[in-house]
Amino acid sequence: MPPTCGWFLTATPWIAFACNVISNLLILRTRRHLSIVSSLLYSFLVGCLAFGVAASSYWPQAFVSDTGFRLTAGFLTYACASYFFFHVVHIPVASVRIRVLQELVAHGPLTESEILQHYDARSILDIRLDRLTRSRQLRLDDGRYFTGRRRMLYVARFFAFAKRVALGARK
Amino acid sequence: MFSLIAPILGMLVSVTVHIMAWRTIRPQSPPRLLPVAALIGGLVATALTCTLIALPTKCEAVEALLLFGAMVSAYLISLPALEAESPSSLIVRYVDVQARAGATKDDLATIINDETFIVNRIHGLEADGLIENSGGRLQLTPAGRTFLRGFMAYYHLAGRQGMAG
Repeated sequence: MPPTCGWFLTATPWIAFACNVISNLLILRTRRHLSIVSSLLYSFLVGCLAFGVAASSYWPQAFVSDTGFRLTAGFLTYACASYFFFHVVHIPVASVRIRVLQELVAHGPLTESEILQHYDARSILDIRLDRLTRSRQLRLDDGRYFTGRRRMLYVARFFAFAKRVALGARK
Repeated sequence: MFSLIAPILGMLVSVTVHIMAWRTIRPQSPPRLLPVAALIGGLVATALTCTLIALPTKCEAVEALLLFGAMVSAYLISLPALEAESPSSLIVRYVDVQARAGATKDDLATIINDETFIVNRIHGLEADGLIENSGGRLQLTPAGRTFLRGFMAYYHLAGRQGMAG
């Protein structure tokens, strides 16, 4: 029998999200060679599986009542919460702003030029090229970089498009 | 139906209001406009959906609120990517434009510069109240320390170490 209490359906995306967070923590602690992005992808899939198992108890109702709309809303909630989680976990790895704050914690109050002595555009370039090459988004051939896998390129194009929509031509 | 329609409608209105305000006011810190935009979007969507569809049950109202909150959070966390160019995004787009010729590290050094990627970020941190200038030297504010601790907490819990960047 499908559960009659509507609150279980309300809680379903958050049960899935909890599975996502807990599995991510376990993956990161046990698979130290794995990148943060890969760990987040796997844990998102674990959450999807949990959502699917919980939602399957509503399957017969999904076509005959508002349950289908509520399940869709639930999955969107899970997807948005997971997207937020992705950024929160990824920011300590990739954010320039976080790095500036870390430099101020590590070295105490600094002038702008002192910050640049510890962390400048060349450091950003070295770190990013290393990361993009290791994740095969770029390919290094005879001292020249070429496009590799296109995942990062599509994300970059999407944000460039979104920026044009949000801010118009006057960026 | 309420739990799906109302938050999506609310989000569309909120994003429209936020972008219009952003383009008009050009604030130093766009996320600060979001609470007002979200409030307007949420109220408009609730009023429209209740009038045109039906009053929600308690469960549906909670689900709508949670979905709306999740969408606003997802939008909020994406704002830095809209607001400021990511070095990685710029690199992959630049390399893609070069196509068969490819790009050397020196080519890429011409587009990744201190002014855009560090000095602007420092000014953004100041505008957000996360750092302050005291006698020409920059230091973290209490809000900056809390912000940094908050973001690093999970990273440390996961047993990872190292600097961002």
